[in-house]
Amino acid sequence: MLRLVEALGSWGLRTVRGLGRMGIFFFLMVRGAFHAPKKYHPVLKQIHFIGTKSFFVIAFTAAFTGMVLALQGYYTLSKFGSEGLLGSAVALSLIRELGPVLTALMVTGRAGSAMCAEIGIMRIEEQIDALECMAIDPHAYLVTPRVMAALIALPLLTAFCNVVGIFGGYLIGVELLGVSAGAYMDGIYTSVAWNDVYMGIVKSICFAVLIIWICTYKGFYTGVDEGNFGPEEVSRATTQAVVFASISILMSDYILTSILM
Amino acid sequence: MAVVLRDQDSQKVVLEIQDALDRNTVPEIRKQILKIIKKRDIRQVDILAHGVTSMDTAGVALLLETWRTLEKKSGALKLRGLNEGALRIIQLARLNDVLSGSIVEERNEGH
Amino acid sequence: MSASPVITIRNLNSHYQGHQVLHDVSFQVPRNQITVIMGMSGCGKTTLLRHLVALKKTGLNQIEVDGKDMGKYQEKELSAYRRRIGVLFQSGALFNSLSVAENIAVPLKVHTALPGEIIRIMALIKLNMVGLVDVADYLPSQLSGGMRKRAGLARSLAMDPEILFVDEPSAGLDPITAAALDQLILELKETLGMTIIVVTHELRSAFDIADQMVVMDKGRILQAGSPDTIRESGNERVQQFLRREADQGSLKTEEYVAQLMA
Repeated sequence: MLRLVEALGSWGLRTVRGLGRMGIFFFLMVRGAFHAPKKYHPVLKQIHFIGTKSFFVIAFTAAFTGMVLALQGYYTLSKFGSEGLLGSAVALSLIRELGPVLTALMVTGRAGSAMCAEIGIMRIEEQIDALECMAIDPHAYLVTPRVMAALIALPLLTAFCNVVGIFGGYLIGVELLGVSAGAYMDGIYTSVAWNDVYMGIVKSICFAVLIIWICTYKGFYTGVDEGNFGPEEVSRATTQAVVFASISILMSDYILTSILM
Repeated sequence: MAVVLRDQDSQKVVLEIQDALDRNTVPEIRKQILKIIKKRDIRQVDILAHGVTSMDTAGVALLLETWRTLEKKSGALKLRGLNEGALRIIQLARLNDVLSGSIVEERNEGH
Repeated sequence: MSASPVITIRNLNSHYQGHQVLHDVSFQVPRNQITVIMGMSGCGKTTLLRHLVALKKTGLNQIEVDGKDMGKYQEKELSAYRRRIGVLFQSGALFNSLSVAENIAVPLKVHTALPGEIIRIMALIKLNMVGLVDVADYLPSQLSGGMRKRAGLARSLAMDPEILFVDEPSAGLDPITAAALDQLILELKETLGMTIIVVTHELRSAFDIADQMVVMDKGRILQAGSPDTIRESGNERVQQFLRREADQGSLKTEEYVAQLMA
């Protein structure tokens, strides 16, 4: 019985300490933007890594999502005789919801996991210690450029995802299922408002911060609590980072949607 | 001014460095030296280093770059008045052979 | 030669994951000299080094640098201290995605306004000092372990530090390269007046370069003094270390069998 309380207590302490440490990490991540030498090259490199290199994966995801949305949407709308609203349905679903969320999840899987692994390896090989000993703030050097790059890349990728998805929906809805092209496009013009686009942008910005914060945090503290700096810790941290970031994206998606509705 | 122009004719310039030659001062000193050397047809540069209080690797790098820039124009660099510390750091950088043609030993001259 | 020590360590105690790793460690690091810290693996020398380079937080009145208590350091003093030091980690700790020359350039790019051309020349000068100028544009993964270590040393010298900390410089190096590195360390002391702290268990190197030696065992200092003092030490454990005598086995037979059968 006592052991159960002890376990619960130590779990509680670890959780609180972890949350506190994440909070401090967030603060240092933001502070790095005002602290660090103002050099743009690292940010550009990260925009290329997070953004440009995700193009293909996002295009693929968006295309098939748009296509399946059109398929499912047509099926549902036809029950009410409202096939003409397919364009609105696809566009609104993507712009308000699926665009930001799927983009964020794909970027987490691709770039977030790679970032966590890269920083985790730096931790176990004492490279982060080396940075500290050179009087270089590792948060400003490693994390801040990534979050700044994500803030630029993610909204742009989301917009790209939306466009490709709407086009995918067009391919299936208009070319395959026979919805009128005019109705499809007109539906988009009339139903998509600034609020919808705004919601999508706000979400993608929040997701950008969440992805980088969580993935770099996990990488940064790889093996630190366990006192084990082996490669299996990097693998563990990376898995946890992707899971934790994905769950956070989905949870915050609900919260943001209810706020911005 | 960390670099003072002491003398010049059509092909030769005499510069005096009046400061430490280290990573804090090198950016500015380099700007001034390059501005002077790249002008016209400068072939010989004499650097009076009596006022150089201290020198580190950045200073050595600058001297090497100046030497190489002049060498490419078939010119020459002369370094006068380098103190013991400066000579030692040039030796540590294994550049005493490369710069030996440029270093002018001045043991007892009163400058 | 300045009389006051650069670093004074007074009754330093340290814990790691619940175990006490350092017990009342006290000694001084003299200015402009080479101090070698030696001992068996696991004797606490790496923990001691981490305290000295401020990677592990030190309590009050335990470590003094130039008379100021390290335990009282705020971020500004910490940063100022780290700009005076250079550290070579055991594995070299090079940044994987940068070439060797770019690695050396990192502190110069962050802390100075030096132009790229000058930084490049400085990096190559440091690489030449450790005999690696030919591999300047290679990635760390393309180098052998010994070369990575030497590149790490070149990087630790990038800012011409006043105090240099070196963790196992000769480990994994062939005798000729190790001797060249020892020569370089001696030259750094003589030419630049660098204060150098070397953690090693290579006896030959240690006696070749040390002005002061500190022998540790199980988190305590067995003896500190000049190389001659250590060589003539009356401490049996010190002599065992110097004679490279293997331990006769740490467990009694019954305990050993009990562990095997558990």
